[in-house]
Amino acid sequence: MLALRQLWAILKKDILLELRTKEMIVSMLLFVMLTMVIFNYAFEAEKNDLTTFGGGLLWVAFIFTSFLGLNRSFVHEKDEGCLDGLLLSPVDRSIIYIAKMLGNLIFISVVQIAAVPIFTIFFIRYPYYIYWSHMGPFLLGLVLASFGIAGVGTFVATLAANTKRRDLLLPILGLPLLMPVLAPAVIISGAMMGGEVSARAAELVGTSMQILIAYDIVFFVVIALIYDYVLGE
Amino acid sequence: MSFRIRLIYAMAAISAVLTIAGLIGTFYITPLEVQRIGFTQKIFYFHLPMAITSGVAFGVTLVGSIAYLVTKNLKWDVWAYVGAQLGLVFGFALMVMGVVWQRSTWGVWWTWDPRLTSYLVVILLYGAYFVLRSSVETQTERARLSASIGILGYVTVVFTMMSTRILRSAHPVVFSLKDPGVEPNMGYTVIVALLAGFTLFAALLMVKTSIENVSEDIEVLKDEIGG
Repeated sequence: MLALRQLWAILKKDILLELRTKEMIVSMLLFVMLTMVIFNYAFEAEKNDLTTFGGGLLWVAFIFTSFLGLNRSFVHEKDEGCLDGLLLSPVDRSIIYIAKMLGNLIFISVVQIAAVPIFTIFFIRYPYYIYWSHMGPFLLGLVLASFGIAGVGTFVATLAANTKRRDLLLPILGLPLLMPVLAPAVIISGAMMGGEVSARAAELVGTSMQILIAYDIVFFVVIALIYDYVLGE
Repeated sequence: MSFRIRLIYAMAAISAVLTIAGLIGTFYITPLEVQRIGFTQKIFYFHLPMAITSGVAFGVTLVGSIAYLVTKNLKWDVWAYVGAQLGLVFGFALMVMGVVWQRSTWGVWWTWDPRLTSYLVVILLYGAYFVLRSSVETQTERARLSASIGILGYVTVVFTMMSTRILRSAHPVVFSLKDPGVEPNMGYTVIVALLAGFTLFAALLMVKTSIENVSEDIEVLKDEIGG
C-alpha cells in the first residue's frame, strides 16, 4: 500500500507539473505534426495513398516525438535539484523508476491518441482500423510498443541526465536499444491499416505481439534490477 | 619477461600459425564450391570465425559489466571496455568481409538481411557505448553507467537477432555444415580459423587490458604530482 501511495505521489507531481506548464505535451504535439508535414513533402502525399508505408511512417513520427518528450522528463528533475530530493526521501529506487516511467507512458499515449486520427486524415484513404476487428490489435500494438519505449526511454534518460552530454546521449543510446520494439510495432500497425489481413500477415502480427510482450517483460525486469546503479549514490 | 608478456607472445604466435594454416586450408585443401556460390564461398572460412569471435568479445563486455556491478572492482570495468573495443574491431572487419562477399555473389553492396541488419544495430549500439564512456568524467560513475548499458546492450543484441530472424524468415541459408557434399576438410578449416580468431582475441585482450591498467596508473600518478 505504501509503495502504491509513494508511486502515486511521484506520478501526481509529474502530471501536475505537466498540466501547469504543458511544455512536454504541446511541444510533442507540434513536433509530431511537423513530422507529418515532412512526410507530405517526402512522399508526395498529394498524389499517393500512403497506406502501404503507413505503419512505418507512424512509428518514425512516434519514436522521435517520444524522445523529444523523454529528454525533458529528467532535465528539470536535475536542474531544479528535484532528483536529489527524491533520492533522499525514503522511497525505493524502483518505485521512482516505475512512477517516472508511467508518467512518460501517459504523456506518450496522450500524444499518440491525438496524433493517430490526424495521421489517418492526412495520409490514409481507407483506414481499416476504425473497424472493431482491426482496432483491437492496432491499439494493443500501440500500447505494448509505447510501454517498451517509455520503459527503456526513462531508463536511458536517467542515465543520460547523469552525464555531461544529456540530450545527445538519449537518442543514440535509446534508439538501438529500441530496435526490437520498432520492427514488430511497424508490422502490427502496417497490417492493421492495409485492409484485409491475409493468413500470413495475421501470423506475423501474432508473432510480433509475442515479441513485444517478451521484450517488455525482459527489459522491465532487467531495468528494475539495475536501476539502482544508474541513479547513483 | 613476466609470465603475462610471455603468454601474450605465445598466443600471438599460435594465432599467426593457425591463421596461415587456415589460409592454406582455405585456398589449397578445401574443394571449390561450384553449385551455388563459387569461389567467393571461401570467404566463409574466416567470416564465421570472425562473427563468433566478436560475439565472444561482446560476451566479455556483458560478463565484465555484471561482475563490476556485483564487486565494484574497477578491474572488471576495464575488461568490459576492452571487450567492447575488440568486439567492434572484429565486428567491423566482419561487416567489410560480408559486404565484399555479398557484392560478388548477389551483386549488391547491401541487403537488409536479418543478420546484416542485426549486426549493424549492434555496431551502432556499441559505438554509442563509447560516446557514453567519454561523457562521464568520474571513473566509478563511468564504470557504473556503462556497465548498465553493457548488460542491456547484450539483451538487445539477442532480441534483435531473434526478432529480425523470426519476422523475416525468407533469408537465404548461405552455407550449412549439415549439407550433403560438405567435406570434413571444410569443417576442419573453419575450426582452425576459429581457433586462430580466439587466440588472436585472447592476445589482444591481454595487451589492451595491460595498456588500460597502465594508463590508469599514470592518471593516478599525474593526480599525485598535481599535473
